[in-house]
Amino acid sequence: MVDGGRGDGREDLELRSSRYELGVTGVGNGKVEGSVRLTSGRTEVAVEVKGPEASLASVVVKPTANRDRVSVNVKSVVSPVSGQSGEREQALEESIIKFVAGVLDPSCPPRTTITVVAQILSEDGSLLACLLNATALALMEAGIPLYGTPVSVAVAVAHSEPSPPRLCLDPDLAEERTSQLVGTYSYLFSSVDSSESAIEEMKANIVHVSTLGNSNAQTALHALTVAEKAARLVLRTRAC
Amino acid sequence: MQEAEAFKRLYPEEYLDRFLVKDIRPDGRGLRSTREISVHASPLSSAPGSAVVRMGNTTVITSVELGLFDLGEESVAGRLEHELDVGPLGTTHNNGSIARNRQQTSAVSGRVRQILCRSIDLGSLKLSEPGEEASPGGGKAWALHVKSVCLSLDGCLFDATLASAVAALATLRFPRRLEQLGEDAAGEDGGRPEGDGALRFLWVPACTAVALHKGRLLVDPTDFEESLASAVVAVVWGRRADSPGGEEPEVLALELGSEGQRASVDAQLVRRCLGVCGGRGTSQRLAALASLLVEDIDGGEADGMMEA
Repeated sequence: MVDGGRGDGREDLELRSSRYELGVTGVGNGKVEGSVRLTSGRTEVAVEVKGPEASLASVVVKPTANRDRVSVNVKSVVSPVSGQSGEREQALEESIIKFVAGVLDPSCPPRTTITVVAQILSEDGSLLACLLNATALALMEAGIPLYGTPVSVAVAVAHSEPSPPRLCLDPDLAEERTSQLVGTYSYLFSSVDSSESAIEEMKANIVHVSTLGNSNAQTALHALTVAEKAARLVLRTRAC
Repeated sequence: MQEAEAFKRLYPEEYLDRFLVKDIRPDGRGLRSTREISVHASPLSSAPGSAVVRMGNTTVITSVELGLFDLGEESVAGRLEHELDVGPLGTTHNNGSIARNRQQTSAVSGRVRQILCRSIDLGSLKLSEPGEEASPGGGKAWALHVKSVCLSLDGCLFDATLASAVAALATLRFPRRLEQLGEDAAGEDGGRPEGDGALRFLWVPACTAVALHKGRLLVDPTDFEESLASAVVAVVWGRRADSPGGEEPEVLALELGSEGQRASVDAQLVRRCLGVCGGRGTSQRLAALASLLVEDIDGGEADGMMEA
C-alpha cells in the first residue's frame, strides 16, 4: 500500500466502481430463477440461484422445535477462474451457505432446497464480499423472501505502526497481500422504506464476519464500525 | 433421568431455557466458563510431532509428518498443509450428506491452516546449505503435513482442532541434517539424535467460541448449545511466542455467523463477545499451549534448528 494514497488513486474509505447485470442466464434449461453478474473494480463474479424447490427424500432437513427457524437446505458450488475447486473454494461455499441461511425470511417454504452456483470470472481482491453481494442480488431476483437487504463490504487494515491503524475499504489483491488484517462484513438492513433518511436510521444486523490478521480488539471493532458505514453507503447508492 | 432426556429431545429450547434462567448450563458450567483443556503431548512415537487435545467431550488427535520439497527460484519459505477428518466417531449432530460433511470439515481445515501459516515462521523451514550465503530462492525446505482426526465431537470443532494442531507442532522435532546424523550414528546406538530442532512460532493461537441464545452469551458451547444458538462468534486470540506471559493477546481472526431472522447482532454485541471470550478461560488455553513452547524459547533450540 502506498503511503498517503492507494495504488489506484482511491481515498482510504472509497469503494471501487461497481456494476451489476441481472438475468444473465436467460438461456438454458429454464431452471435458474435468479442470476447476476457483478463487477467491482477488476473482481468479477457470476452467481446463479435455483430454488426453492422440494428437497429430495435423501436430504434430511434438520428438524427444529423453533417455529421461527428457517428449515431450508442450502447448497453452494463455487468455481475458480481456472482449474479445479480446492480448499479455498470450499471455504467460500461454506461462507455462502451460512450467509444465505442467515438472510432468509422465515416465510421461505420449509423443507426446500436453494442452490447457489458461483463462478469467479476475474479476481482482484474483496472476493468474498463480491460473492456475497452477488448472491444477495441473485436471491432477490429469484424472488426468494429475505429478512432484509443484505450488503457486504471488505475492509483492510494497513501496517502503520506506530501511527494509528489505517483502514481501507474494498481492498484490491495487492492491498490484501500487504495488509495486516483483511475482513469481510455482511449486514442485513431491515426496513421497507428505502428513502435516504430512512437508510440512516435502519437497523444494521450483522450476519457474517470473517477476518484474518492480527490486530488489537479495539482495531477489530473500529473496522466493524467503518464497515457498517460503508454498507449504508452501498445501500444508499443502490436505492438511488 | 429418561424423562429429562425425552424432554430434552422433544423440547430442546425449553430444556435449555430452564437451565439458563438460573445462570447455569446443562453440564453444570456457568454461562461464561470454558471447558477445561487437557493436552497430551507426543502420544504417537512414530510421528515427529503429535498431540491429543480434549475440551470437554470434544477430542482431537493431530500428528505432523515431515517431507522435503525443492523450492522454486522465487520461493523462500516452507509449506504447511492441514487435513481434518471427522469420521463416524466425530459425527454426532450433522445429519447432512457425506459431501456436505466434507465441505464443512474442509472449511474448518482451511481456517486452521490459515491461522497456522500466520502463527509459525515458514521462512525458518528452509534448509540452508553448510557455509552457503542466504540465497533468495532455490534449495530445499520442509513441508509440514498436519493431520487431525476428531475422535469425539461435542461442539467447538474449530477450537479443538486448532489447539490440537498447535500442540502437535509445538512437540515437533526436526531431524538433524543427514550428514550430521551419519556422524552421530557412529557414536550412538540408534534412537533420536539429541539436540533436535523445534519449530519456530511467531504466535501462540487459541480460539474460544461464544454462542448467542436469546440474548445470553454462552462461552465455549457444547454441540447441543451450538445447535440452538442464533449466532456463533469464534475469536482466535494470539500471544506473541517471544513474550508468552507478557503482552495482552491480540485478535488473530474473528468469525461470526448469525441467523438474521433470530438474532440481533451489532457492534456492541461483538464487543461483549470479545470481552467475555478473552477472559480467564482463553488465558488458560493460551498458557497450556505456550507452556509446550517455553522450553524451546528459553533454551534457544529453535534458533539452531536449521543450522548445519
